[in-house]
Amino acid sequence: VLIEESRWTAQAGWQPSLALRDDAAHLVIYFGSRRVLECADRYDEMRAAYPHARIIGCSATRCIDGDALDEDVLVAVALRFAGTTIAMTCRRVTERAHSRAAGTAIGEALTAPGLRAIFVLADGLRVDGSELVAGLCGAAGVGPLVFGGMASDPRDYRAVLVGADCAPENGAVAAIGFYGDAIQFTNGCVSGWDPFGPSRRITRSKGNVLYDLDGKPAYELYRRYLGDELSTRAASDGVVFPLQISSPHEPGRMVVRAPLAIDDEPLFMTFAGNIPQGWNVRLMRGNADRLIFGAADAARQAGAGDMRAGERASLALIVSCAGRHQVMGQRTEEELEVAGAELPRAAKRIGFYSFGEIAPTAHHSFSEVHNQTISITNIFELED
Amino acid sequence: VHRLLQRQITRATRPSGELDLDMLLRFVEAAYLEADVDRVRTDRAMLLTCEEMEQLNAELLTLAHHDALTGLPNRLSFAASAMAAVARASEGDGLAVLLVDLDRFKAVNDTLGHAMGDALLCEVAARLRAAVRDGDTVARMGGDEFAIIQAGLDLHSSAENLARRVVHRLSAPYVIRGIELAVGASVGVAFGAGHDVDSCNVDLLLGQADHALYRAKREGRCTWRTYEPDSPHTTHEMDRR
Repeated sequence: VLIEESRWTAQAGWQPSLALRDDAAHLVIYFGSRRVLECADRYDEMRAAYPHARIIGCSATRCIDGDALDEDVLVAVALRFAGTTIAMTCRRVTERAHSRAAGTAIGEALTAPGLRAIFVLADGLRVDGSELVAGLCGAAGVGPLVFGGMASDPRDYRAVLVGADCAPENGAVAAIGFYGDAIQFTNGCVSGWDPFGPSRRITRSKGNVLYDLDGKPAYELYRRYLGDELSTRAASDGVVFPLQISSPHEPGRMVVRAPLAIDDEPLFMTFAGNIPQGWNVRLMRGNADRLIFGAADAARQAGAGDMRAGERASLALIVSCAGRHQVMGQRTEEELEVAGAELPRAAKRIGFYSFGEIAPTAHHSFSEVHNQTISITNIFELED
Repeated sequence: VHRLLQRQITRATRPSGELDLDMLLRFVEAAYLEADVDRVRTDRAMLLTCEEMEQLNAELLTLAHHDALTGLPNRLSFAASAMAAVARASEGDGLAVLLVDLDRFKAVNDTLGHAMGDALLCEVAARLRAAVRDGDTVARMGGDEFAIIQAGLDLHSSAENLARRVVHRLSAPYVIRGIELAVGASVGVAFGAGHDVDSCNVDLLLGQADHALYRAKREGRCTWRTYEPDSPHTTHEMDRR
């Protein structure tokens, strides 16, 4: 696979210039801030530079470009495959309740002989990621790797953008299917958060809304733990105490859920993923060091599959949770640095900070939507 | 240079290569504040977790020592109370152990269902609580069997009065969910003398109370008997209802 990287900033434009790009590229993947993507010019410029490529991308709170973490930027990679074919599909989700159906439709559209993986990007505000991935995995079956992330926005939770061969828009789900024996994927998805305190039972919930734990309002629990930090302005403070939820019926199946909003009238909390009633939960706590170690673990897992690491080009797609950035603050780049140190030397790294990471974990082979994790997928082609 | 400080220096360096010291200080201050906030969160989380775990421990201890249905102390708790009572008895006071077993309880369960049986057991527990003095211990030993420990002065007359009272109160009709129920109770009583170490033994007293209870059952139910090793077949006043 041949890989070209580009980035756009308001100050410098495209670096390097798109004028000399590989116009035979098959696929362009990009991530950018909403402010940058709202102007359709950026998409038009990529389309002009890569006339034959499928172009997929989304908005993000922060974009990952190697070790760098940028806000008002667009990062893109163009890939030309030697022995891999791809297909793209896109669905609009107008109502959250239609998320599973959209996932099923995408899975069915991309299922074909030789399907190895599906890379999916979805609106992180309008789409129920858990339902989307359940539908997608149900239609695609256990074989293909399903990975990707939920598009995010800078901080106002107003709108996010996803695009598939068009200027990015709201409510979209875009997916790419990879086919053939040459294409290889190795993946790692780790949180680095530690559960603490007693286990509780989810006694009342609906979808991604949590009402009661052990018969008491979940809000009260967060109110105690957040203390003076509690804010009803949505999202941010609760992120420092995500939940580890585990199925009572499937030992080892654990998912991290981060609060998106805490409402005190009526008392409920909205999470960035489903909160199944009857499951067990524990509060989680993280600090920058533990999260950074988690990123190194994820990169080790992602890099472990390539026996000839460093000798051939690969693309490391990194999807990390926006909540991790909130906890790590100025140290966020350290997780990118340690991940880079663990990945094959030749791996080009781009990615974004998301509202949900779509990946399997080492403990559970089915893909799910996670929060507060970092998911790294290393993509490369085998030679003949 | 520390990697964080190195990044801060890089960010605070202008395109000309000149270091913007004010900007650098802002980055450094922000990093200190981030660390402070994290420390406060961690401290609060640890403190609250300790409180929660202590509360959970207390709840588990309560569950471990109490009968979930009636809320009475369970057999484990009874054993601990009995051991303590025996220890006090060795200092002079005697103690009495009363074993209480309901009569015809199985018929309630068999004909009206376990939910009614459970409700009846709760009512029995309430009546037993009301029948004893402060300081006496009432426990559910399992099924429809209960036990009472009584200690103090005038033990024999006091325990016999209690046995009579228990038989009388538990045999009074019950109205549960609109249905009138009639069951009885049989009681076996054993005494441990404070000065007699050999007689003041929990297992021994329970065995003796059980023996007396067996006699009460055999001799007509709905009555009470005391354990009398020298004349085991002596019949006490019958208290049938």
